[in-house]
Amino acid sequence: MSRMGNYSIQMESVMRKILLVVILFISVADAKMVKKVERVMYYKYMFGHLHQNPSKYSTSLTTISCGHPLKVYSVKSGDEQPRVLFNKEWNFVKAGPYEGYIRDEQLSSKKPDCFQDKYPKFVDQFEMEISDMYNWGRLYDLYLYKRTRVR
Amino acid sequence: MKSCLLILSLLVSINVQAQDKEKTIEEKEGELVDFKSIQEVLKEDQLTEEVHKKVSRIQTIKKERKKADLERYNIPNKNEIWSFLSELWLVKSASVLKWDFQKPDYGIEDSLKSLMEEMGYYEVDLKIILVNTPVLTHMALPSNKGEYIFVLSVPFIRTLDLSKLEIAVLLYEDFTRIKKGYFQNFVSPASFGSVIGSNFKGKPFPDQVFKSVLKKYDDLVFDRGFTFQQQFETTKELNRLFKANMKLWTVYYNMLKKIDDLVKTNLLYSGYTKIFPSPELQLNWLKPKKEVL
Repeated sequence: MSRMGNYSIQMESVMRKILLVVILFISVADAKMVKKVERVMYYKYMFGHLHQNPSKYSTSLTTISCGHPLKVYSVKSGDEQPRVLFNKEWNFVKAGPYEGYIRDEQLSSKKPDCFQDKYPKFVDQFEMEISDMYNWGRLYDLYLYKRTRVR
Repeated sequence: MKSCLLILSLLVSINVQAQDKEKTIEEKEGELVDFKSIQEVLKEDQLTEEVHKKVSRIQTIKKERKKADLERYNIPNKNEIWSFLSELWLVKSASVLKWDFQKPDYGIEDSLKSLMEEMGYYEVDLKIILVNTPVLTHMALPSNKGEYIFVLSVPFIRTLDLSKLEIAVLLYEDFTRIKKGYFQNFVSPASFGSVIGSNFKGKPFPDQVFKSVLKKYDDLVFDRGFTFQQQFETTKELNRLFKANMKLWTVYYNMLKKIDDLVKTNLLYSGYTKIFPSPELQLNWLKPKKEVL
């Protein structure tokens, strides 16, 4: 009987600890991400992807097309300075209902002159499927891109 | 029957509303007021001048709208069409070329950038897509002015164990071919010149022309390749350019030697000479001529 009592006391203490850890985790997670919209920028290439993590190999949350407006966040974690770039070159952005990462180099502060806006009927003729748009976005993820310097 | 009529009238009214939304306030005013019927009143109120201004403004808006609508049917000109077509081809050939794969950072783009700058090409965009297949070893694709698209096979550069500089030289050779217009000339059908930069409003879209262009991309990349004459011209040009920098010349020569050995020993790359004829001949063209005494 007393063994049973000890066991239930032990269980209760374990449960309390778990609860404490959960509360602590929630409060830390709460303090972790303070997001603020810094500016609105536009996607500047034909098609692109919003990634789950700041990596070109990370899962795509959605495919976006040229000229799509994106809210760029600055993120403050704890006492650190708010930052806009992650992994040196990724912005944390919101596109419609999705929040994810996109490379800084793929964004423009002004609305870009998009090929599909300039030649809408021409682009329509190629009857691009969703998989084509996805692949086009992947192409811009995977291009090794460089611009040679000014003379 | 009644419900059908109701839906039809609803659709018509939605369509009219959508058209109305596109119109400016001036246009809507112009449609509401018949200025001709109230000419006398306007004269009395000395508003004739104002009406003239309004009518001419409406005409300008209508003209601009018509122009904008016409421009929507434009076909890009030669400065804007190539990157679209090359990228479309890459997208449509994704399953064959297998470019969507994880790879380490080789730093190829940095070494190509340095070489391009050394050769005097400034403010140009370089795009390299790595493919995970030996079916396309290396190639520059036609692109818009001021930008260059390269395709490079990772199995090919790994098998050859090429250095970053050798890869840059290999891509520079591709760049030379594209600058000479060999690719563009091969894939452009006779009617291509008259189609690009034109407008197809009220006419059927010349889709056969573009289908033929994309098909010819396949032909050149996987089957026909370049001619001996084109290879000779390319090799001679690089020989002339690299002679001023013996390090680059030596890298070019050694790289061709590596490729020559590979295509003679590895069955996987035996078709290489069909596309780029031929490394052995290129080496001969590069060799300084012996003086006959």
